[in-house]
Amino acid sequence: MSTADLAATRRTSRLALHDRVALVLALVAAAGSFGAFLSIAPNRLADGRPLTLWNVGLSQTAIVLALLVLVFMAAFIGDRTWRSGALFASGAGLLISMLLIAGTAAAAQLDPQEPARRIALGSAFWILFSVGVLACFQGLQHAARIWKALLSLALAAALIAIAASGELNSLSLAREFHAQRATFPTELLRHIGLVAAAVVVASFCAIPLVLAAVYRSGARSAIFTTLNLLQTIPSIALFGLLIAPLSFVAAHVSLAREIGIGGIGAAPALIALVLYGLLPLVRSADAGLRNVPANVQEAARGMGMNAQEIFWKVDLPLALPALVSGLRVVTVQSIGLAIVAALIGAGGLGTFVFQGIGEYALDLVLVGALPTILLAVAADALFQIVIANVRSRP
Amino acid sequence: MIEFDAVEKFYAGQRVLGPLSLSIPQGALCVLVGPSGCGKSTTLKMINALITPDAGSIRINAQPVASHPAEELRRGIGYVIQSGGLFPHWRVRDNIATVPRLLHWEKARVAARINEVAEIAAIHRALLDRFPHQLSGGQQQRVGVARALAADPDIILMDEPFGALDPVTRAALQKELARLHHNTGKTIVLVTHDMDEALALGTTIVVMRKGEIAQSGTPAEILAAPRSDFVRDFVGGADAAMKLLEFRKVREVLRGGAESCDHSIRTHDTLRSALTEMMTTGRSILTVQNESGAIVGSIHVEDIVGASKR
Ligand SMILES: Nc1ncnc2c1ncn2[C@@H]1O[C@H](COP(=O)(O)OP(=O)(O)OP(=O)(O)O)[C@@H](O)[C@H]1O
Ligand SMILES: [Mg+2]
Repeated sequence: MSTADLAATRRTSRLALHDRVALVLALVAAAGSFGAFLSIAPNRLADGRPLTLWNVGLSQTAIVLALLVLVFMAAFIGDRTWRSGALFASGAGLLISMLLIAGTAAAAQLDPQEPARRIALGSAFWILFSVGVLACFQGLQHAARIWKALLSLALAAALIAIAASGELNSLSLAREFHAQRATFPTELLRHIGLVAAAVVVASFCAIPLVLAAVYRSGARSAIFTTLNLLQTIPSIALFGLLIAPLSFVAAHVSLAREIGIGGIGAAPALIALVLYGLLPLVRSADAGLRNVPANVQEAARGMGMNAQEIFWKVDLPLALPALVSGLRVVTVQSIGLAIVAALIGAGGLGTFVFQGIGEYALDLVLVGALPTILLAVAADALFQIVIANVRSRP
Repeated sequence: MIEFDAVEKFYAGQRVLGPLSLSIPQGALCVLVGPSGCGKSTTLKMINALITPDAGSIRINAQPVASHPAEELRRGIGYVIQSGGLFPHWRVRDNIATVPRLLHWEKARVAARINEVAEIAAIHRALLDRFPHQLSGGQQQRVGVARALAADPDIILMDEPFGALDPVTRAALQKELARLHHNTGKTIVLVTHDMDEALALGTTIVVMRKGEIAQSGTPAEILAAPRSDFVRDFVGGADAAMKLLEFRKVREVLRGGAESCDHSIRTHDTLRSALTEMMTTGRSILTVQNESGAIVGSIHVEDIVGASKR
């Protein structure tokens, strides 16, 4: 075969898989879309009757199918820019159409004869929605930072606009949100406040521990053994274990009682979150500070820097990316853990989760869980931006 | 003047250095040379108190090193670290400005000094705003040298400043260092394990072995009269005779009386160039002229051979 022939065959056989993730997403979505899109129950406690996507309507099915085909085809596009664009477009389309289809379909299912009827989102909805989110992420993966930010903000704004327009009001999830609208902002703020307080307090507590672990060789193993031990205590057990000593303090120290310290409430929750936060913080800061190259430290000493100057001018700046990534881990971890705090009366988004579990109302659980996930994702993204900036400006 | 007085250093009960006594005169370019692990870096780092001796004392200009706060002492001594050791989070210009800033120099003075030292170390202006990882190995070593020079210290310590460089760059940097030493008259202590580098740069050479001084002296002294087999091997065995010719001048073996010959050489040329001249012209005798070109005598090949033996 001549080289010209070879080139020709290569040109004709250009249909090659370029993005395995996109292919998997399309297949998962296709399989998942057979499940219940909506589930209709006569009341909050009864089991629901499934409504599949094609029960909802043919045109709706066609739209979703078209978007899935686009995801599938994107996997075979060779040019990265086009592939990413196609993936993001189909992902965003999937997200928006999911919300609109579910909203209108739910509205159509309302029945004045049955005012207690609940129209919940089914497995097909969640799978298709998740595939939409992942397709967007995959599509943005190689985009410039500015495009990432602009496109995700625009998409988030579109989704929020749909939710705010009242288009989704017939869904039981929206109705649960509506029922909780008086308490939701308070609990959300309490959740954020608890996490913020925990991260700040944990950071301050971590400072002496890190300094001791790095600069006093004797303390190192004791500190890490203790923190590792703390990390192995299950969260619910730790919250429980704190009740007894704090009740005792509250009973015997009136000042403590006055500022709100007690066996239940914010105090034990905060303490538990701080205790869990210490290990990741201390570990990453320790690694960051100890990884400062020995020759750089020797140069610093040799130039005539004293211990403080070496710490502030050399060790700390070089360890900064590690410190920030420790904060990131602790923030995201605390956002999730703070759910459990509701069990001991600290409030927060966990209130809805545990109330929902108690009442066997899945939608109410989601009222607590979905914002928690969104908070964690947002915090993570924020820290990633900070880390990228810390790295590029050393 | 840097003086070591019976200095010793122990690690885990093992003596790695000493007892070592040594004095480095003001304005010398003293080269510590020896095989890996013989204690060169240890000796060097004792001068700026990065390592404290376990016995004996070190004095700089008659002041014991231990009598000063270490940081103050180090800010007055330039230091080029063995493995570069540039601050990775600072641009080249900030690396160079390290000591002046520690000494709280004014901004304008620091900025002016950065440009000055960059010129001395032959660092291109465009490199000043780069980070160390954006430089080649040779450029990094130049920055290390510039950083050591920045605060204009009287003493400069250099730990293998030209290690891991190609021979051409290395020779160029050596030439720059020799010029710098010649122009400023600073006291420089330089560590290397390369005898040729020691011979090319040093006014005083200290050959070390297993924590002790095997021999010290001028390059010519060490080449001409190695005190032990170790030193003889280290300076290059049989090749030492050739090297020695570099350090001897024509005037040292000059014969009086003008023997006429159509090829000539000058009194201040080295014996090595005289020998090269004989080999290229096929003569065994050359006419010798002084600086002003007047014939002052002749040089014979057997005298050169004789000189290399001494
Ligand atoms: N901190 C230390 N602990 C134990 N031994 C050490 C320490 N520092 C140096 N030594 C030992 O002291 C000896 C001298 O070390 P030094 O660094 O002075 O050698 P060197 O002549 O500079 O060698 P090189 O040319 O390889 O740099 C070596 O045998 C080394 O193993
Ligand atoms: Mg060394």
